Amino acid sequence: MNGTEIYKININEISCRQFRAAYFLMSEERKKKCDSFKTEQDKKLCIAADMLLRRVLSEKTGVKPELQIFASDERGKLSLVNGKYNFNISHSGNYAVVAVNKQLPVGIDIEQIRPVKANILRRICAKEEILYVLGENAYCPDILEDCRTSERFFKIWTYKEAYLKCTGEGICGELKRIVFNENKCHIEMFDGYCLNVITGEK
Amino acid sequence: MLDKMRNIICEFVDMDPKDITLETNIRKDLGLNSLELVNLAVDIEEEFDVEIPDKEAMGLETVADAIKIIEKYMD
Repeated sequence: MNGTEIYKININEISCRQFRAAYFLMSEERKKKCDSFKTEQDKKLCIAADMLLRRVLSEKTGVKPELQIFASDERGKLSLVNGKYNFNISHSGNYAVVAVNKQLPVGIDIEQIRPVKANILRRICAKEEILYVLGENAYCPDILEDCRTSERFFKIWTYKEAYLKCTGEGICGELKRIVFNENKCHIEMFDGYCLNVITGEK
Repeated sequence: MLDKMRNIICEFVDMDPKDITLETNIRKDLGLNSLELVNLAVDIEEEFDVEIPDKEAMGLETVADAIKIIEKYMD
């Protein structure tokens, strides 16, 4: 994986006390973002991602978690001010995940596999991707509910997301032009989730 | 058009349609993630028979912005 390391945390493994402590370590900007989330779960995921990131970077750089300083660009992409690690974060369901690489840019996306309206396919997928998701002779249902179909869709979706996060374009990039290539990413399927990591070039 | 937008949005969030106004921020107030935003954009496109470029769709802030974009591409 070109030196990329992946870390995961499940919010059910974090105590209330740990959440409170981690919340106070967050930057004012991140606290504001956390406070703006409507659901308790989204707030917890936001905190968990920050906590995991600080912990991982602390292990890598030797700088204590509370002393990590982050900056964000105009698209909201975070970078480490007092260090040289590239990283990216994502969260979905009960998991927050982090990818780090000392030299190369990285993008990570995790999604809980769930039914999805099929009309999204023609919007974001190239022809070969639609065939991959549905199978060459399959009809297209209104909702992608079948396990294997959903899994294939989320491999593609997380690939596109991870790619755009790696390049820094964010979700404003054109989704259809980023065509899924299993050889250019690292995919993990676990516990009803799909995780995809892309490592860029220097 | 606002009523149609409310109906589409309420398929994604558990909200009283009356609470959705022109000033409602699609990302911040509705709490939608990227996939849900794209799904919402697709449903809007189908309802109004328009095609909105990804960059503009993902750059939408408020419901008012969405209506402006729809009107732009309906012409």
